[in-house]
Amino acid sequence: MTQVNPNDVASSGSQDIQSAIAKLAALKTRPGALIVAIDQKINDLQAQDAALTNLQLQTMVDSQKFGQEVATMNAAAGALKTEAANMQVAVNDLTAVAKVVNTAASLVTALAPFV
Amino acid sequence: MLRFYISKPLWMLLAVSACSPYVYSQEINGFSNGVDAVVASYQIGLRAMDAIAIRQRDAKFAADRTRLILLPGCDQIAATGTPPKLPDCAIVTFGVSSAPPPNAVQKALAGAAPAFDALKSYAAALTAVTLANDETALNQATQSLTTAANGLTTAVTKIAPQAVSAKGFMSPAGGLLGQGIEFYLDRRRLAVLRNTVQAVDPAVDNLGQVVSTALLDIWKQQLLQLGPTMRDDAELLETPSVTSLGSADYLAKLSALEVEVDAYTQARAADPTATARAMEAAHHQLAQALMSSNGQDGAILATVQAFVASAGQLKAAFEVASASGGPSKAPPETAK
Repeated sequence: MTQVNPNDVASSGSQDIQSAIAKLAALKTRPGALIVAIDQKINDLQAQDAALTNLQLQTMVDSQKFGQEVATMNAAAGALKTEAANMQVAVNDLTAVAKVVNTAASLVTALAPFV
Repeated sequence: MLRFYISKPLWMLLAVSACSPYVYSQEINGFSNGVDAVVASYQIGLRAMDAIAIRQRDAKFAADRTRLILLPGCDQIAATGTPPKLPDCAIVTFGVSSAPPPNAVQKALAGAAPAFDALKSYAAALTAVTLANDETALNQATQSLTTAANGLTTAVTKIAPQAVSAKGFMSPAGGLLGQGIEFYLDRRRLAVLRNTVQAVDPAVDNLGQVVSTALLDIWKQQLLQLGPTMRDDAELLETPSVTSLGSADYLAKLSALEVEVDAYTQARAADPTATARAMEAAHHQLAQALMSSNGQDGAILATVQAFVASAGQLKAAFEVASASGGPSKAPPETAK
């Protein structure tokens, strides 16, 4: 069975509408052209094109795949944020160790006269 | 012998610094800025769609002289229920007891929100991993530890001169402890960055399609507001009867049309599909560069810059279209 991609169908439909609009727009320069009627037809076609894109978007966000992709992205963001937080932990640990060493140095200096 | 033990880890650190995640901070920061502009465009578009829906509704109300009423919720100021929520306050047709549901455009665009939220969150997390401030903080902490170790060894050698031979070893050892942690974290973060960016690349492509379609939807709706108004106002100047217009009237209509044509042209110049493709390309190149670990690459930076420029143009075009407003009459229904 042939697989139909709704995105391809929508894109193709949109191109057909744009092509029709271009042909209508060209008619406006002809002598005696019914400009108001042509404009109305162009407006209608553009509205149909916009409706097609909106339908395409609704189909996409309703799909199961969309939810899965969003979950994948959110999980990735979580993993990266955890790794970024590790840096802060390391900074805090190093600062704590430096304080302990400083205290030890002060203690050694204070005890020096008695050694 | 001692010199050998110290110099070897130092050489290792120098070798690895070329593959540090901070090397990609410029590219990742650019990618994140581009994503921010894409998300901002979407938010501008959402507000524009809400404004369009209100204008269309108001035009219909005015045409029909519809009898209206404020919802009873407008008279309440205390949130109720679990979780606490203020009741809707809206202008509705007399006899209607709830706020109108979103139209088809608003509904589909709201459905796409998780894609934009996820991309924004992901880009922010990428930036957090490569944040230069983090590197500076770690360097400062490492320096503090080295200084403290130096102080300790100096104090020890004062009271125990026989320990002087250890001074040459102790001081660099303190520094190496800090640098060792930095080295370990750099490698670990780079590994996470490589694995994540590579694994997420197909998802970015797929969400890019949703982003592209959502932005295209907004763009077409905005042009649908600007286009008919422009054509409507051009009609009088396009017909043979234009010669009957007075000079001042003609000039006023021409000036108004020129403003509309300018706004329409700017809005039309945006290319949401190209912006989404540029985002996908920038992410894809970043994934490849991280896997090959070849450091900064002019091609990646150029791709990221192209994405940032495209996203900025899109945002500017959406702002122009939003500011230009729309017709005072109800345009044709686009979707049910």
